[in-house]
Amino acid sequence: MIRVVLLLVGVLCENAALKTLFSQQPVWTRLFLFFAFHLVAAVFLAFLLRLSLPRQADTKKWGTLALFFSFAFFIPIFGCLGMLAALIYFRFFLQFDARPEFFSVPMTPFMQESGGPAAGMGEGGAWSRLRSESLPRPMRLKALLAVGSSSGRNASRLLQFATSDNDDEIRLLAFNLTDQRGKVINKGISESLTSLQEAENSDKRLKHYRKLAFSYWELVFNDLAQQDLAEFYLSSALSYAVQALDIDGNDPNLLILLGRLHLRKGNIEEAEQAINSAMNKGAHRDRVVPYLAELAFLRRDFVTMKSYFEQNPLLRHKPGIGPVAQFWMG
Amino acid sequence: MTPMDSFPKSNSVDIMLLLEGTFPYVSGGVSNWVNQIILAFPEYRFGAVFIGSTRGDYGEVKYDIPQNLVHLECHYLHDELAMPAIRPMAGNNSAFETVRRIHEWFLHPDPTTIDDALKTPDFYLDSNSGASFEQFLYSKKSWEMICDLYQERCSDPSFVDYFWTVRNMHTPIWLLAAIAKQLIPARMYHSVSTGYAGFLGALLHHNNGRPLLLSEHGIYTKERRIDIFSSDWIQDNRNALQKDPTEVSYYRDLWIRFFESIGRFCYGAAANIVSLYEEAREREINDGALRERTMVVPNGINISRFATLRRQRPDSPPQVLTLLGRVVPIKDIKTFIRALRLVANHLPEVQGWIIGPENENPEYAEECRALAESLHIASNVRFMGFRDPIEILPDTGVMVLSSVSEGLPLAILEAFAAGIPVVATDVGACRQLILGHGQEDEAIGAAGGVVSINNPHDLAKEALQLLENPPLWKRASQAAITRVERFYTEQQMFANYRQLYQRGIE
Repeated sequence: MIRVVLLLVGVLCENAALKTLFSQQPVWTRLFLFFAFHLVAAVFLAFLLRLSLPRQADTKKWGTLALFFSFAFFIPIFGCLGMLAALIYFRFFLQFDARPEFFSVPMTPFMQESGGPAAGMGEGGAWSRLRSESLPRPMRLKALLAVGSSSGRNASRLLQFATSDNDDEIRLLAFNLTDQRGKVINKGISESLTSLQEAENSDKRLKHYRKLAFSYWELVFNDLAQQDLAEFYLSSALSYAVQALDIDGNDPNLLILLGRLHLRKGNIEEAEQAINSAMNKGAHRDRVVPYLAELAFLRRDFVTMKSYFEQNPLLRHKPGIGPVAQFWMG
Repeated sequence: MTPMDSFPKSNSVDIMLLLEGTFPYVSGGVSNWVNQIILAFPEYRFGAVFIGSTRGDYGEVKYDIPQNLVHLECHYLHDELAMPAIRPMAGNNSAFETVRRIHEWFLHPDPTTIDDALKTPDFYLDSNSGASFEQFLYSKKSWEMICDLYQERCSDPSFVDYFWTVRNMHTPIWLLAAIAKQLIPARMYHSVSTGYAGFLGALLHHNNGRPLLLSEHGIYTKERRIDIFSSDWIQDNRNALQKDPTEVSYYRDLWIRFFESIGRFCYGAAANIVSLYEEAREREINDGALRERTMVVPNGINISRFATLRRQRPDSPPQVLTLLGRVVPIKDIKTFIRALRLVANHLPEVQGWIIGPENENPEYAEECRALAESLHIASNVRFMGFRDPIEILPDTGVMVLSSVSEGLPLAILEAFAAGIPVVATDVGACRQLILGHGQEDEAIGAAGGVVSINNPHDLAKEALQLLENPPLWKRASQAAITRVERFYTEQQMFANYRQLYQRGIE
């Protein structure tokens, strides 16, 4: 209905504009009336055209309106007629040719076989599938393989959990995937220990102490050892970090590691000392603030902890600490 | 004269043993068992076919050849087959149609309905009636079939890898067919695993009509599966868009299916399928064995050989944990070393003895040494190579098995017979051996501890309990002796095998 009204008003106004142009009135009056009627007609027709656009083409409301108005106003009569003709043609008569050659190419057989979407089960999905021993084995194997393809401590925990499964197949695959994870790190540790024995000066020893500290920490951080064994790795990492810092106490990364090791062991004073020392030796503030915040939290000093987050609003967007910062900053 | 030339040869035997990677070149549980069986039946003339990978993988013979082993021949899957000269050929149409049918059968296998044509060695050796090795390698039909199967089934984009995987995988079949064709007559065949030896047994059975007995110590396909999952040489060429992380790579899956298929071929041919414990029997049935052909015969040992060691035991346990087994991933030596670290936290002088050959997987042995160093217990761990258990057991406090897969380990029975408690992982029949199976057996008490795999903490805890608590150690020791003497003597095992052999030969 609105379209009919717009069309009628538009056509009548354009018609009136034409008539006034050829009337007997003074020139300025004719011109004024012509432009007035033509303006109204152009506005109404522009609205009509915009309303008639297909929905998917109607993306820039004011832009298309301005374009239609320009055509209708600056090319009197023919602009409007041309626009109407184009609209009718595009809307009702234009047929888009299908291009079958693009989508009729058959998929190769191996793509058809494996083309299904990935399971996308997420960590929780993998946990629940591995916990449910009543599920069919192929489904649980898929969950396990998905876990195996991801990295990090949660994946290690899941794999560790699956090594106690009652299903032989699941258990063995989980064991194998777990074993692969620690292999490279242990090899690195062994090489460093050998090189350390052969190191002739403190510079070389420093390099190996440093590598050993980080390697042992890597085993703990990735949850590749549990309970007493993790404790042993932690103590080894701490011992090598201290020996490395005895040679060069200005390494901020090593100081941060020392702080993290103490934190893990629950030595709050030593951890704070190491983290502050790292900051004084040039560690970037963004790197140390999460640990300072954690230390404040452990001391139950929530005001200080909150202030760390407020001073570093970008922490909200960092992985790991992000959700914690968001929680405390509101 | 090479050692192989000195092996006994005969024109016929009563029982032909089919052995893959075991006796007489590899020492270990299965090889000991084979030796034990041959010695136990002097009334039978045994023959043996040893199947290995390449000659270089094996050192010297590890056993004295028993008197009644009158024929022994060794074959190496990757050394022996001479490549025929390349020449173009069309290939036998009907034979390759049969091969196509068998590939369809692989998708929905049933051991009782396998195509008859494939069952005899002639199919693989006669180029007129079957598909010879030369045709497999060079014929147009073979090429077309590989291309078709690649298009239909392969989800890995590399055709080159597919082509060579198919070639390498199938080549041993022609060698096994040739062995089956020329092997001396036997009144029955006895394979100690499925796999290549089992496949050979099936071919021999179908060719000569003599019965095949299959004794599975571990489950071959399961152990192969572990190897395949842990191997680095199998490629996955899919890119990030093609890869589904929840799926095993195509070639790994292909290798697994290959071994499952030849396993089913063997199950289909075997008149009797013997497993060591009930769960293994169920597993065989799941893998395609017919229930009515399966039975359980536990291992047994010569108790008197080890009973003399009991007198040498001290009143309190020696601070030595011994692992008796090959240094290979399936034995999970690393968990034993990790557990030793934890035991050493309490008992710094504790020793961990690893008794077993390292030559099967030197890379893994090196990883184990590296681990011992990284745990600062290199001086506590001793890699002692292969030794007779008799030499080791008197000085052992607790026997430890940290394996991820086992059958019914002879090592446990031998330790029991010597009065040594055992801590083992909950795999195979270990739980049954240590804690008992059934009311009468369980009433004997625990002969050690059982823990989950890959769990150094629990392994160390159980071992420590026994090492630090002499009365507990003595109770476990007594339970071990009682259990092995009541349920796991070699006389019981031999009685079962005597029946099976009599039935097969007659």
